[in-house]
This record gives sequence, structure tokens and C-alpha cells, in this order.
Amino acid sequence: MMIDDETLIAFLDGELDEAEMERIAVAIDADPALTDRLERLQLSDQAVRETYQPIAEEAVPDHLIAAVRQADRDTAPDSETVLPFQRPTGDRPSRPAWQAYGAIAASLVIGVLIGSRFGLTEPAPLHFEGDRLLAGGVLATALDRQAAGAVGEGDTHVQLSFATDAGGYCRAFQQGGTAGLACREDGRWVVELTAPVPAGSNGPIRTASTALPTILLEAVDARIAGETLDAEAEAAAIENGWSGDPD
Amino acid sequence: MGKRSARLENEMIEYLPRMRRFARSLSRDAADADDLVQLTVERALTRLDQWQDGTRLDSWMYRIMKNAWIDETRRRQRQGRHLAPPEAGESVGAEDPDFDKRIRAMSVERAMATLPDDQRIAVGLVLVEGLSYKEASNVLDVPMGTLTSRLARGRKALEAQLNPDSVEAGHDD
Repeated sequence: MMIDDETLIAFLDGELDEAEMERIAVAIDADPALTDRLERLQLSDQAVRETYQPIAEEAVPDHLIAAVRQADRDTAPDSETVLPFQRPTGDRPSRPAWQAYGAIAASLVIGVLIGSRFGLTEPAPLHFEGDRLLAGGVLATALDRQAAGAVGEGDTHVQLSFATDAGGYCRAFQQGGTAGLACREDGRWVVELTAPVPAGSNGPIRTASTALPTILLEAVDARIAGETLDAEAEAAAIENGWSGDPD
Repeated sequence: MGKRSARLENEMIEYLPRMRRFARSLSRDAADADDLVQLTVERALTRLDQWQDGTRLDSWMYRIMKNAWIDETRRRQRQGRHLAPPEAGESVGAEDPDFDKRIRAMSVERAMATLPDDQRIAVGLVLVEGLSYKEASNVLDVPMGTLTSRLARGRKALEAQLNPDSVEAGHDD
């Protein structure tokens, strides 16, 4: 039986209907020349697959991941209205080594001292209560009231807001070189994660449109129900105190 | 209409290993291949409004990459530049300690580079990326028959080059 190469290759790819697959299988069994052709094709197919497969197993270069995060932020409709997030004034290191909660707390306190009406009496922006890290002070105020995309008191910037599968709310925030994820629980903001923001594809001036760390976006993705809140839904959530909880 | 979200970004990042693999099946040069991936990501993000939510993001990205590759090959041809320098030392799996594998990978790359673009793209999508014929013909926006014909011609040419003792080989090295 004559079987053309297109059919033979479609057979190899499992792209024929059941009856046709069966017919070709029988023909191959009965014809050594056909078996030989099939084996040769299989051999070269396998060589091609094995040549390229390792590429998909390599670590993806950082700059390609950054291209997804970064280009996306750059084309966000509000990116032009976002204020510089941290000006290179020289009186603070532009990229401190944020290693501990103490560092972010200190930085937030600087924000309080610069722009606050409350001075030193303002509660700490981060504090432990039992085994949970809670937002307080300017951070809690920003999480309570600030729309995503705006820069508020203490340079705290809320990047995005979303509802969780459990019916609660979480918000991703950024302050200088540190980003974090806070989720609403019992009328308070529990800070579930903080992570350093990837070093600057934006140059020396950090803007609010800086890409969020991968680990944080993964955490968002693990919790999010549907899409991020749009401006309207977010405004409603702010109005309702993030759960309808009158706190 | 597609829109930006953390989930979409993550999905895109999830596809990057495959996009890199496909790019490498198109371009022998590793740096060119990653440039192609970057271009694809940038175009995808600026044209997100053209992506229909609910359709496959990976298929759409493959299509963008295919178009970007064809644009790039035409541009270079106009400039009289070669795409894959034949003396290029880098090879897929060059870090592999297995010498035979390395030699074979180099043969595969060389053979792929001899295919016309349309055949190489069809082989890349189906054989390397594992797309079904239907998915691949969607990506390329060509009838199924066109895809299977390109695929068959490409696969036969590869077979002839990779099994040089083949009785069907049109030409030997």
C-alpha cells in the first residue's frame, strides 16, 4: 500500500482519526520498507526534540521576566500621573539593603517625621501582635484610604487591591525598595509578606510604577479571586472599610 | 479584550521557557533568540487590547513571535546580513558533558537552519513545541493542509540531513 509522507508523519503525531491510525499501523506491520521509513523519521524527530528541550528547562534570564513586569507597568494608563516615588536627594541611600522588618519600619518612621501632623506619637507602621505582623500608623492609613496608583503620606504607595477566594481583601504596597502584601483580617491589616523590589530597571529614580517582586506577585496570584479591583470597586471597598466592617 | 493583571503577567512568565525554546528553534543564535523573546513580550504587552480574553495566550504569543521573526529575517536580508553565522560556536546543549549529544544537537541546528522559514516555523510549533495541527494552523492562520504540507516537507528534509545514510536523502554532506 502506498502511504505518503504527510500521512506517515500525521500518524507519528497521532493526528489521524482512529480508523486511519489503525489502518496505517496494520500497513506498517506488513511492510518492512514502511517500518524503516517510520523509524528514520522517528529518529530525526527525536533528535530535534532532544536538541531544544533543554532550553525550556533552563532558568529564564531575569531581563525577560523583567520585560513582562516592566513593559506592562510602563503601558499602564496611570503611569504618567504617578509621582516619583523616591527622589535621589542623597540624604538616604537610594537602595538600602532591606533585610529586616526593622528597616522598613525605620523608613516609614522617616516618612512620618517628614510629613506628619502627629510626629513621634504616631503608632509604629509595623508591629507584632502575638505572632502576626500588623500594619499601623501611616501604613495602615494608606492601606485603609489610599487608592492604588496614588502616592500618599510617608511615600507609601499602594500598587493594587484584590478580593480573595475567602471573601476578604488584600492590597500590595510599596515603600522605597520594599514591597509588601497586607490582607484584611478582623478589621486590621495583617502584613503577610515583604520583599525587596528588584533593583532598578527604572534608573536612579524609583517611581511608583516600579515592578513588584516576583515572589509578591506570586503571592497575589495564589490569593486573588478573579482580577484586581478596578478603581470603582476599590473606592467602594475603601468606603466600606474593607469588609463592611465599621472600624 | 485582554487587560493587565498580575495573573496575566504570571501566565506570560510561565510561558517564557517555551517561548525561549521556540525562539531557539527559529534562530541558531542564542542571543538573537532571547532578543526575539523580549520583542515578543513587548509587542504582546503593548497590544494586549488585541488579545481576546478567553483565547489562548500562548498561541497568541507564538503568533507574535513568528511575525516578529519573519519581520526580522526580511529586515536582515535587505541589509545583506546573515542570520545564523555558520561558524557560530554556541550550540544548544553546549554545556552538556555528553559529546555525542552535543554533536547531534549541532547537526540538528545546522539542519534546521537550512529549512525555509515556513517549514522551520511549522516544525518548531508542532515537533518542538508539541502543538496540535489545529493549534499550529491557528497560530499561523493557514489551512490545515498548508500546515501539514510544510510540516511534512520540513520533517523529510531534516530526516535526510540527520540520517545521511538514508536511501531517501536528497543530498549527502
